[in-house]
Amino acid sequence: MMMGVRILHTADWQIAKQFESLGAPPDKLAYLRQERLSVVRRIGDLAVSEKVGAILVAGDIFDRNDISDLPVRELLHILRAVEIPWLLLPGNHDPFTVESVWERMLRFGCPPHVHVLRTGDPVILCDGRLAVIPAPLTRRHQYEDPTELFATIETPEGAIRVGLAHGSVRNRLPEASEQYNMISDTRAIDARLDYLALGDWHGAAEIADRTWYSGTPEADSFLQSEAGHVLIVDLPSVGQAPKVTRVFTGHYRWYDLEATLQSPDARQDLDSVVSIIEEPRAAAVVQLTLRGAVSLSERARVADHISELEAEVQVLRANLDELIAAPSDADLDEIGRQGFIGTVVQRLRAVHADASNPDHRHAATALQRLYIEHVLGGRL
Amino acid sequence: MRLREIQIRDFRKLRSASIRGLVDGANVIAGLNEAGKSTVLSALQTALFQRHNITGKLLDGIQPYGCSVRPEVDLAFELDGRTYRLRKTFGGTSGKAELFCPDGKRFMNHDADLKLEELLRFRGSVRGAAKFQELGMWPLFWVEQGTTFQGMDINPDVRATVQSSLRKEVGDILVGEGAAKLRSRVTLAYREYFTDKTGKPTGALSAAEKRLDKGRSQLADKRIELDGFNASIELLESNLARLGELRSPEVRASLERELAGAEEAVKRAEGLLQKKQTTEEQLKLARVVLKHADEAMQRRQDRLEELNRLEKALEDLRQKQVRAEEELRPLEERFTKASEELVDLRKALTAANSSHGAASRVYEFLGVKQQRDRELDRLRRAQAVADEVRAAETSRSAIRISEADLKKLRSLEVEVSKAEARLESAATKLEFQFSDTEGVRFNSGPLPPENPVVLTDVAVVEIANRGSIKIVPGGDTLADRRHDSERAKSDLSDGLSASGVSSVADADERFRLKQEASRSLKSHREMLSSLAPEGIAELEEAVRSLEARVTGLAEGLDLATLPDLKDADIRRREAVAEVQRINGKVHDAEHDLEQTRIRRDEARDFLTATVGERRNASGTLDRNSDALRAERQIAGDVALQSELEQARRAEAEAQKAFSQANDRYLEADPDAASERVQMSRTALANLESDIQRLERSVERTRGSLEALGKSGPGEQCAALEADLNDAELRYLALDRDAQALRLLYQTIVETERDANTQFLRPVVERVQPYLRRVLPGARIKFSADLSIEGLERGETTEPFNSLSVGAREQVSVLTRIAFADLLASEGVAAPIILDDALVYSDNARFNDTLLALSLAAKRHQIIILTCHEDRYLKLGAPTIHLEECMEIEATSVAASV
Repeated sequence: MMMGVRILHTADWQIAKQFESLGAPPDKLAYLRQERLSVVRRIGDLAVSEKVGAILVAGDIFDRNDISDLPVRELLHILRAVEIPWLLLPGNHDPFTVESVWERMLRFGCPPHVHVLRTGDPVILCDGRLAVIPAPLTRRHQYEDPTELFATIETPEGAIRVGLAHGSVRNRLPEASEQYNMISDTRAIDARLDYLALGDWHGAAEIADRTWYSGTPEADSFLQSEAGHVLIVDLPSVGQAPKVTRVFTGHYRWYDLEATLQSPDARQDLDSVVSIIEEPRAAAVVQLTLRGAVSLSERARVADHISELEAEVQVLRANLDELIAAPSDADLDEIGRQGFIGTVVQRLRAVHADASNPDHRHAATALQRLYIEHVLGGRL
Repeated sequence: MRLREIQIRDFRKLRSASIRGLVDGANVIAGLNEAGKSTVLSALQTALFQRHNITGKLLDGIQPYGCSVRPEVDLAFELDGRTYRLRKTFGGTSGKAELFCPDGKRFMNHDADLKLEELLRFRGSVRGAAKFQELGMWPLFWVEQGTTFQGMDINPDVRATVQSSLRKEVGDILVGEGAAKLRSRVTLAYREYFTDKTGKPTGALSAAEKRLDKGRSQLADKRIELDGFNASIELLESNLARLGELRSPEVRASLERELAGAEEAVKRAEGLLQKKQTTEEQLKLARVVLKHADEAMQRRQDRLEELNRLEKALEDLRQKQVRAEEELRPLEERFTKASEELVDLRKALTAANSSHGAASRVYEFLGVKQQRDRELDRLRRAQAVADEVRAAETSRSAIRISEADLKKLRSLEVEVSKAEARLESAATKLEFQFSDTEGVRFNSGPLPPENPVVLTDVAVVEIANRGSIKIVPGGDTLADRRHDSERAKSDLSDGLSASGVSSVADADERFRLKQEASRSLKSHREMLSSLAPEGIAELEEAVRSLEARVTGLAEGLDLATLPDLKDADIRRREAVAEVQRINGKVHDAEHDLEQTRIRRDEARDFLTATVGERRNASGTLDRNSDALRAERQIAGDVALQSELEQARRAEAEAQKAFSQANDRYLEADPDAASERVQMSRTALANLESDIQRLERSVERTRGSLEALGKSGPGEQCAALEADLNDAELRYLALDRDAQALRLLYQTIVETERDANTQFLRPVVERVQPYLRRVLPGARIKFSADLSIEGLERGETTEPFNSLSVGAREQVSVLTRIAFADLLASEGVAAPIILDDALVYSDNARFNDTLLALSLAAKRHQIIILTCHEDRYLKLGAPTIHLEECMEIEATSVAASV
């Protein structure tokens, strides 16, 4: 009886992702981008320490085909260092097309242990104990099931059959998911697979029988759950259920935070919300949406606190558009109700109250600024 | 303060002036230009506000020009109803100041200066000159000449005093210290985002805008590049797919199969073509054979038909000959009979002619003899005249040509032409018929054996005992005619030689000259012409001829029995009549004979021709018969017919074979087969060239993509999008802050402006009553620093500097009065001194301003210095004439000395 095999299942590295929709300064984004290469190093180290027989990367290794040469060479450099078979599957972000990133990678010279899976031919590894049946995408959008032919692929007698594909599993994902690159949810059974390693879904999940998404090893969005993992899969023998272990590999943690603040506890409420950001906060990417109506003084303090938070985390995307600053009696007392300044406050409040005034949406901020400049003497 | 008396000595141009009697209300100090009005104001300012020990330029400025005397000013004024007296002598250490107070105190020099500062509430200069414009409120009310329209210079002292007064009136509504700091900070913050003047974005906001624009532009460019990159990839994919299709062995094999099939079809068509050509050759041969057989048969039939036709024609000719012989026979008989009758008639004619000859000879002898006598007489007379003519002609003997010569030459020339024309004529044919040829000679010889004779020259037929017949040929004989022509030419040549001319034209010319020469001989010639029209020689010849004829005719005549001329004529006439009668018959007989001969000759010719024709036809018939026989010996008629039918059958078979071969050839569609071969070959060639072209294109595109792909256009595009998104967020944040600041800044500015307006309302309300009289409908507007901003008229504000000069000085004067009214409550009671302050105002406005001054004079002392005394008459103020206040210069100078 043949021995079992251990593989590392990962996907969706999306090297050279630019995070263009994040709206953060380029220098901050550069860290996020660099981390997607660093995680590959960590995966290599993990693969070595876990003594896996192969590393299966289920598509979207690169964020797109039209990236520059540098990240391709950087990745090759990392892969060369870990002489475990790396099975790289083109996904919908990096389909194997003409002049794709894969052609360039091959031109640059892949070491023998790096397999760019250009066809559906099975790859036999681990002295014939492991047969990986790949389903590379040759188009970004493929309306037929890329694993359709898996059942017809013959593999050596006694070899553990592992499918490697990229797409959405039919009937298992939200309806809003893409309608192309769809994979049958019974493919593992139909094709007599011991394990079907999938990519595309960025959170790690067992999506069907013997069918897993590893998710991305480094989170890249606020919307992902269970992102930042790879899977160590133990395949004892043909027909036996795999043993899957999640291993956290991520560095940055993405937080999508929302809060509705009310005076007089606005600052406390905010503290409570942001307290879930774990240390080290420098590895946090935060989207913070604040709503509610607060006094001028509290609004100023909230702004102060957000400025502090921005300095702590890697990226902070704060949206305070719906956090209304309304002067309280105390605010007004501080500013002064009489005389010249009182008239200025009255006029700004009138503008704020008049929705038809073109400056209506600026009045609250103007009052806030008046408070800062007059009461706080320009502090903040 | 109320000024009462001003005494000036040695101050600039004023050596000495003493102005006294200044009252409360309005005072007019009048003086001419350069009289020293402005010097009075200057002396007043210097005395009150400059220290006595001034030196340097200030001292030089007040000393009389070129003198180093010490200027002196002596003043009497009232403060709070009490009188002070001030006397100052300026001049460094030698200067002196004395102030006499109402309480009897006297302050000297420095103390006096300090006391004045206290009394007049100003801070003088510790060193040097005090600037008058900075000396409290005094400059506001003392207006120097030519400065009124420049507006008011509100110094801090004035502003503080006015604001103090206003606060008492309207309260503290102006920006306080804290608010001023706020305004300052907001202004600074505002200026970080917007320019002060235009309100356009600047600083970080502008930079954010520019970054945004630049980012958008860069992204748009990069997207274009990316689109191009993607398009190239699509092209490459398309070309690779197409290349794959073209390289497919099936495609090539299909084309090669098509080519092979087409070439096979062409070969098949070529075989059929060969067969078609063979059958075509056979058909041509069969047609030639058939044609030959057909022609042979046709020739045989033609021969037979010709023989039939010739036999029939020969028979026709035989019958024709019989008819011709029958027609000739009576004609021959009739001709013989007519010939005999003519001979008889001719004999009778010969006898008649003989009788006529005798009678004519007698008649002629008598006539000629009579003519000879007449001519002889004329000759004698003519010879006499001729002698005269000859003598006259000697002179023109040089000219040989005559008109006759000329005419003759012309005639000869005509003859030459005619003779040449007659060369075409035929010779004359002579036919004769003699019953007896004995004694008949032809050209002195025997008759020629042929009859008729063709004459080509002159011939003479002599008939013995009868006479001779001279025949001159004039017919068709060419030789004769040539001879005539040559003779005519010879005659002409002779004539020309005889006339001594080279041509007829030459003769014409000579004759014309001769005519002119002969004009003088005309009368002699006419006379001679009448006597000898033909000339003397002719006349002599005629006489000789007549004589010879007389002699000749006399021979054989019996002169003794001769009748007279009349009888001789009757006999001659009778003989002639007889000759004519017989001759007529001869003519008729000759005519009849000729007609008969013609008809007989025609019948003969017809017969001869018919005989010839018959002979020819017979020969032709014989030759054809011989030929037919010879041909039949070669091939008989039946054999020819058999050959023809055989040839026809062979041709039909060949035609059928050819048609079948041709049909099969056409069915093979050789053109289509060739075209298919060509198409297949072209398609194969195109396949190769398409593959090569696509390979080149793929190579090019790959090269281009490889080069472009290195830089990662998609990655760059995404990076630019990331940068742009960040820029947009930053810009939006900045813009939110900037717009809030703009709103705050504008609100502060507007609030401050409104506060100032409200604060200055008491001043405005004090100016308005005066202004309403001068500039109805206008409302004065002050800026926050109390300077005049302009005049409001309806909705618009007209800036002060945009007003006319006249309006500006009026507004300025009225505003000073209003400030004087306002500050009166502050204990400020400065006299208003106007040094020609209203020089640009028109009369109406001036009068309106005078009214305002008159009203103001009820509360303030007003001193007007002017050179337009008359304009201020209406003011009703006491007038001091400056000239009257001055001592005589000489006195002053003496005193000074």
